[in-house]
Amino acid sequence: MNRHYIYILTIMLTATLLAACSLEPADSEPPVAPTQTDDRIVVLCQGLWGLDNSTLSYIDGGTVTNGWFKKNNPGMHLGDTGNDILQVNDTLIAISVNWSNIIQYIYPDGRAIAATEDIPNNRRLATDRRGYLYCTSYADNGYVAKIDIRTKQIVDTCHVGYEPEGVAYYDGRLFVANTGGYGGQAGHKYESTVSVVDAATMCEIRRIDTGCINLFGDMTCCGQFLCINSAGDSYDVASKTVVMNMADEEFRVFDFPATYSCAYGNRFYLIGSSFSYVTGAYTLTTHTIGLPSLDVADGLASYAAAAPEILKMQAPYGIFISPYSAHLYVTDARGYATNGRLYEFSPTGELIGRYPLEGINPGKLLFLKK
Amino acid sequence: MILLCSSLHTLWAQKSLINYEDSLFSIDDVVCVGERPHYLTPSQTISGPTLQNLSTTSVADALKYFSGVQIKDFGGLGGLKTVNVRSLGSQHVGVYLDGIRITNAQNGQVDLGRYSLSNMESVSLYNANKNERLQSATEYASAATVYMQTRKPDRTTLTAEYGTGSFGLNKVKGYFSLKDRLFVDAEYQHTDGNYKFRFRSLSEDTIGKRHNSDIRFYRLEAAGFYKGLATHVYYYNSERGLPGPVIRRLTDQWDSTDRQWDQNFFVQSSYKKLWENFGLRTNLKYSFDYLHYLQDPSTNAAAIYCNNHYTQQSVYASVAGSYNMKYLSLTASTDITWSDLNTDVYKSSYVYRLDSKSLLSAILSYRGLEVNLAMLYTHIQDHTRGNASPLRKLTPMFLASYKSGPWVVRAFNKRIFRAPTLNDLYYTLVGSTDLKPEYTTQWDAGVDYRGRHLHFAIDGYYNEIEDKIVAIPMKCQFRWSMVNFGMVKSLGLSLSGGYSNEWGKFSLATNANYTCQSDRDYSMPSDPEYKHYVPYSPLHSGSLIVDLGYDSYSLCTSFLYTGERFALISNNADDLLGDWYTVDLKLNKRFRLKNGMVVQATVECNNLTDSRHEVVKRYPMPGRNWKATVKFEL
Repeated sequence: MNRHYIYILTIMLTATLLAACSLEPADSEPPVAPTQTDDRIVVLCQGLWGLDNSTLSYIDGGTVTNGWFKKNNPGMHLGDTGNDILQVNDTLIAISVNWSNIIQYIYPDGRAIAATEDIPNNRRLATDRRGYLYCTSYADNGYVAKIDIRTKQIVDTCHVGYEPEGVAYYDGRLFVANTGGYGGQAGHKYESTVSVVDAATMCEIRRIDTGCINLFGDMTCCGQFLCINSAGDSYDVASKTVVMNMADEEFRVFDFPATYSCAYGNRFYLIGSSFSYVTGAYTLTTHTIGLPSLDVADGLASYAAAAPEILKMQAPYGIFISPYSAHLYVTDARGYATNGRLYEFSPTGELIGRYPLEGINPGKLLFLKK
Repeated sequence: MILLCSSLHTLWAQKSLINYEDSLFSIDDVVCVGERPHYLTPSQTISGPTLQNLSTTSVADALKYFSGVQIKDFGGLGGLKTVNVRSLGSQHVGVYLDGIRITNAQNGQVDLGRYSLSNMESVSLYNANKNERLQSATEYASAATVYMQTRKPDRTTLTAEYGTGSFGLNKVKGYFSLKDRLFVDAEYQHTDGNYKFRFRSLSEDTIGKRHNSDIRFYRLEAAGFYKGLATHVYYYNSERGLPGPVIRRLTDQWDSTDRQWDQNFFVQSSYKKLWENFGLRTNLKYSFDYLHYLQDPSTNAAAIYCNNHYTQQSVYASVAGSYNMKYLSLTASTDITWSDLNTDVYKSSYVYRLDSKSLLSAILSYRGLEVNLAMLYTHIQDHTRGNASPLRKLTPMFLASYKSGPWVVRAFNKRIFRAPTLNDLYYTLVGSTDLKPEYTTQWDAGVDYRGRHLHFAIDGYYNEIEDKIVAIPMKCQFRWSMVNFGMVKSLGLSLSGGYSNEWGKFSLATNANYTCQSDRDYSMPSDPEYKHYVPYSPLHSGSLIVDLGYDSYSLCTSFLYTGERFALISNNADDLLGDWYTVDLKLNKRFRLKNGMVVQATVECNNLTDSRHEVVKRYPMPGRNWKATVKFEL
């Protein structure tokens, strides 16, 4: 039996030695060439559906603070799949947290204020700057909710098309892009309409048929113009861009996608990412649309030099231009399950910073006022 | 000269855990197979009384006690449970019932929560594969294999059982057997499953109760044995709630109401015949699997309507022949599997797959030295709209061992792939027909000691997984999105051992294991994730089973430990899941009544220390829970 004890002892010794090593979280990736820009940015990372890991990162003068919401609010976390972030007024920021079914309000310094429940499966936000917040929801066959930001209570709702995504406010009316994106499993067709809703009465005035299906993706306002992406069906129907003049409700269709869009000056800047299940390939494009002429140009105008860098990204996930510095920012979701990155380009399109984020799927940026 | 059981190394392991009351050396084991023992690959077995004494209900629970095994468990009786060995991935683990593989052409995952231990003789795990003569080609085709061995009845008996426990558990079971000929086993279970949970960290303190985690199922099984022929019929029918992940909510009014209905049926038959130098084995199987998933906005306003049905069938046939000489045994085997999948998922089309495998294997035995060389040829062809191109692969493997007295020194190298599943290839908007098969290469060297009371094994191993096809759950629990990891390298050390003995009325059987394994991603040197830890791979894990017997009492204590692991490849501090351990107890007492009837009363306590942990991120496991069972035996 003595020999057995020796074996056991050897085993235990080895085990002890091995136990000395343990898992350590990875070091943060160092930012590439952090620059002294004055932009103060809140980055909303969606996280992964079901992992409850939506996060905020805060960038100030080129310094990244990850886990910003948690740091400012001990004992709290943002929730599951943050979809949209919007500055409602000088002191209030709203975040729609999709699968947590809440709209979380924070001060611009990151402290949480309150949250509105009761908008299940919420999507995107808009405000009239007169004390009301509007939020689209996939629930209940698709509706828009109107929230009084003083009470944070829902005051009215209006049914629109199936799976409404983007929402914009212009001159007393809401413009809602309907997708019908779950048609395949829920037994309805893709939507091709924009619902026009009277914001005061919350009644649908009309539906404008754009002839383009699945109005899913970013929706960007620039004055009276609205840029809407039509994602197609990923099989036979290609993705397109619809630009609508909200003043006269006329629209024009372009033969390229505007999956990610932003506006600066008198121009829409677009990154199109289209996927064809037939060919199995993603195609990335960049375009600008001049306003009010609706002139189209390939590339990114004065930021043209940024385009090759953007097309090299694994998965561009959002395009933004700072209204304060005119710097161009593009997020990269990379593997969709890995930490994302934020790229910063100068007004001439030169890469001046790459910020590693500790967050997954950075979908939205909010530029804070100085 | 030596005519021994189907696998003596299994038997050795069994021997150390044996209670002589229920001896495993039944005549059948010794006579019918006629092959010599092989020690070529590491193997672990839990069998006989220890298997029955464990406080477990399903095969998945029993496998947790094996070295190098990671179980993905979504919590509760109804939560999906799949097994992963040495981080190779659950689709690389072949699960075999009496030597015939349980398959799932759709996603390659076998829910081991559905297989009951009550009629099992043993559950074994073999790294690489089992090494016998007369194995089917399919048995060589996975990187790790789990064998469930049905118990052939050794007496004529009728038993009835009733159990109740925490979370509204009720179960009834009936079992009838005719010695050496047949058994019929029926079971019904229901549990509300709505257990309490708590998440506590710097960023939350969430207390709540699981909703919609009920399950009810019934299972009917029968098996017949006649000479070399064995036939097994199985039917499982269940309805369960899918409670979904626990995420930040202000109230629980939006808790998941997703439901799932399953039916699984198979009938399988195998025939084995041995002559002096020649052996023949044939297998035949038909299986039918049905799954219905419903997400209904009328019960949960946040949900989007989703109502999908999946039907799978498969027919499998194999024949193996072996020719045995004094120092050499040659086996040739060929298999064919036809499987199909029919779903009403948007834009999906009917698909069927023909998968044929052929094997040539030579086992050389000279004194203590054994060498196995095997060559496997696989041909897979799918038939559907826009199907992937056919897959043709030839894969060799090498195994060697040297045995001297109770000591065995062994080594193996095995390179094998798993073909992309039908979901990987064709699932609407997720699948990709360009997927390459995922290859694993394993190197292992180890030492075994198998004495009369003590046995232990030490193995060092190195694995590589190339072109890894990784699925991450999205939206629904069984709906996945593909993430390509490229390459993973694993370096590991596993220690396992056991001791058993008897002193008069006292008996003791113990089994312990410890695994240290480092799995890192080597996909893209330019990525920050390069050399990061692979999700859900703990560095340390271990288990201990102590089974004490005194007269008609038995007390089995089992301990399970899993170290910290990351939930995501980015390895952020937020993604680190805490380590946990659980202690389970099971106390059993047998009474013999005057009329000859035997009554068995059992009390179980699972998770004695009320550990609050999650195996899969945001899927909490139940806390302390109790179960009481009474069993009547005629």
